[in-house]
Amino acid sequence: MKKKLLMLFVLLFAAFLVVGCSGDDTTSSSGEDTNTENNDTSSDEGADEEEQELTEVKVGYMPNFASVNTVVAGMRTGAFEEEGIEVELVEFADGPTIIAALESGSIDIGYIGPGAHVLPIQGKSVIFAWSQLGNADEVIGSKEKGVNEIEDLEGKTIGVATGTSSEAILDLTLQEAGLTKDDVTLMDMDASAIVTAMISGSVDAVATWSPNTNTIKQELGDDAIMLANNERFKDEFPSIASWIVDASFAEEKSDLLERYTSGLYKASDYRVDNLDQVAEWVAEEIAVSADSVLAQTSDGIWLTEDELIEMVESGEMKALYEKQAENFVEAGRLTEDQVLPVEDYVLFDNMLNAATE
Amino acid sequence: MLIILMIFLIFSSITLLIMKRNKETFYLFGLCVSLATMLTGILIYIAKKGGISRDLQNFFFFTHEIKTNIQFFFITLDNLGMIVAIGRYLFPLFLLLLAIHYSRIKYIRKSRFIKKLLFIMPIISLILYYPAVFRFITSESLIMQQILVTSMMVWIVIYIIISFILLAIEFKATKIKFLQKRFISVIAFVCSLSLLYLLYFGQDPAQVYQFYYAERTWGNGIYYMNAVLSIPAYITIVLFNIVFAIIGFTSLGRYTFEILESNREEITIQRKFEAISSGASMFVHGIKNQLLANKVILNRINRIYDSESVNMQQIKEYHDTLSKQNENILKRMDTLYNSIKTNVVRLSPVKIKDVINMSLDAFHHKFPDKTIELAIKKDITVFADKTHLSEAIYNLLINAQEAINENTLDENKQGELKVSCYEVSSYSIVEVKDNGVGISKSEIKKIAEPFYSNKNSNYNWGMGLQYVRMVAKKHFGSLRYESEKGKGSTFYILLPK
Repeated sequence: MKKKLLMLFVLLFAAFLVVGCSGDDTTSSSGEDTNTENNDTSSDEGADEEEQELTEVKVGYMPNFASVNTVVAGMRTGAFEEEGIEVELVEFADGPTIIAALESGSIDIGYIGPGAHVLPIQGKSVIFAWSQLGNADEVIGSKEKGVNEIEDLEGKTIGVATGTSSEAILDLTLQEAGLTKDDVTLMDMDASAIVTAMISGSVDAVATWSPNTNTIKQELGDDAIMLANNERFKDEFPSIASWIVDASFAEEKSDLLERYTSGLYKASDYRVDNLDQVAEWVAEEIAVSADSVLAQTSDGIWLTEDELIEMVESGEMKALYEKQAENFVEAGRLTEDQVLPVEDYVLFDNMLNAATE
Repeated sequence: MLIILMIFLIFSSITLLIMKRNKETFYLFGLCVSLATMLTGILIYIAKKGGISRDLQNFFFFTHEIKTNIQFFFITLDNLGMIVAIGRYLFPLFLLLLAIHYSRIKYIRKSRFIKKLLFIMPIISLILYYPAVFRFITSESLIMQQILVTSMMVWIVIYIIISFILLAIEFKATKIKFLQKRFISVIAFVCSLSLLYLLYFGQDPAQVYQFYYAERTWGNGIYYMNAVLSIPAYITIVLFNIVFAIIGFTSLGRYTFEILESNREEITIQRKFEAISSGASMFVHGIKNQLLANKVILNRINRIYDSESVNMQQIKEYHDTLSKQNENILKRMDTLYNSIKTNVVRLSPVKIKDVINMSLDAFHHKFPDKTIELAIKKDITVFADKTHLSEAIYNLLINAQEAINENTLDENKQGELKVSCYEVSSYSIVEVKDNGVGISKSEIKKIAEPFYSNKNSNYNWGMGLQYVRMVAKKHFGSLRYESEKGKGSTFYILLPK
């Protein structure tokens, strides 16, 4: 009897698995179908049809104002809906993970900070829109541990999230102090652990971004000293944040990408005029206090659609991306051979096509 | 939910390990802990890296607060990757060790060499996956990295396949119902654990600490964070794990409890007293019945003397029967007295064939015209008290024959009585099988109770099975039985190897 019961359990179990897996398949395949249908509709008759089905787009973001403000503004103001897009937000800790998620297909679109740009520069994903020039990254030292200026970092233990903006700003700071990574002890950890490590005194300094920088400074009070930020290197190292997709997505769904970019533009304009409102929305969306988000509104230079288009057309944007790639080579993060021409990984055409006529 | 499952697994396996310190529970403990280690590492990683839907997040961590606490837990990526690697490389090892432990293939089970060999791959893997070593080996060569990643995968898959083949062979070969039941519950539990392992074993743990290096194999992307299954499927897996874990642990626990009980009894005076008294009572009952039979014969002799003509030939016959009975009683009295007098069973290596032959001699004395089918494949040696054990087997044989007699009284049914002896996992088993009347479900629980009997004959002692059970326990083994009314019964004496 027991044996039969167990067999029944096993069978049920197997059935559940099959149902579970196939359930997953159905969702994803129907999602793709919707996309195709939508693409067809828009190419044949335009997107003005009534009762048009929204295309679901999964967007990878990081829980900070700079990363998510335009998307949230677009979602709340209906800018994406106007473009026939429904945004589903998926939270990530850092840019390289977002790129990996794009490659594996678990998200469609992602946001990356300056440090993760080493990957698109090598051809891992393409940039389809500009996000902002940021001022969110900082290197913070602990006075108690004897770190008062950048030169004091020598021989110290520093918490860093390799591959991200955290590493990028640290590289610049060490260079400025005439040090290399061999002169310090690096502790590779994720963005959140960096905060705990610094507060608990497990490291002497950290390189990270907002809002982690704010949390650390708040917790450590006078003990924390900001050693360097993006502002300090703004001339030689533009800290660009961008919107990216997998190259195949850009090729196959160029129309969808254009519509998403248009949504972003509309949201950008709204954001510039209503910064505090957007900050509140962001706080709700990422479930943190409004105050902490409001403190981040100066983390970047927020541009309007017109300003962005102007940047593209004047070639200023291209120059900034070129400079960024050069910086990575100088910092030893990339070799000359690994760097692709900017046009290969930045879709300027998309940026222009998406502009409101 | 995953967190609860892991805590439950670790807690239960530790409890079981404390209750029963043997290889089987140690391997199960290893299996649970290595799986929990791997999943803990992955959960921390997921909490830190994000990339999962809110629903999945709630499934993994219950609340946003728990997730945030884990997310801010201070650990370097090197250590986190190592935690996942430890779980990933120890699980297959424990799985295979457990499968080998259950295996009846003697060469594999007994070979220390094979067991030592099994440790090589996990140890090598753990050394290679120590972050500094891994980076040293793979920093210059992408091919080296590929080779490493693939070869890890290969040995893990081989270990798992072999484990399941061994478990399947063992399951198929286990014919005894009660062993089968126990094995099913354990195997179901192991399978559900393995399923959980298989969900995540595909990703290389070096990803955790090598993630940001552009040269890293990006094949599996954010594998750990990908929802491999839908949430209902995840919940189902976890629920099944909990159900099977409860069944598995209870089964092992109950079994352990029995052993504990009997071990404890072994050392108490009370227990010894019970053993003697039950043996003595059984003996007294047996003798009394035989004396009653003698009394009947004596009555008949008296009747002959009372009759007019004395039939000398008849008297001679009765006389012969009486003296034969007398001899029999004396003989059995001697053997039993000797063993009871010693107060304890004396265990020494004996060939089970000799023990069974002694029982058969006694049986044929009682039922000279009945045959017993023998199936003793090889000469198994056990630690046993020859006298007590043969007496116990003799008891089972007599019971079986009487059950057959009862069943074949009316019809022309052929009685079948078979004695087999074989080895199964850690036991040597003596099996006595008959096609007699069988025992109904209501009776089966009572039959080993002292003085319980469903028979109504001169040979009804009511102490037989109680005695057999006692003997089996004294041998650190047990008595088991299966029966179906009208079809027959099978009794097993399990003796540890």
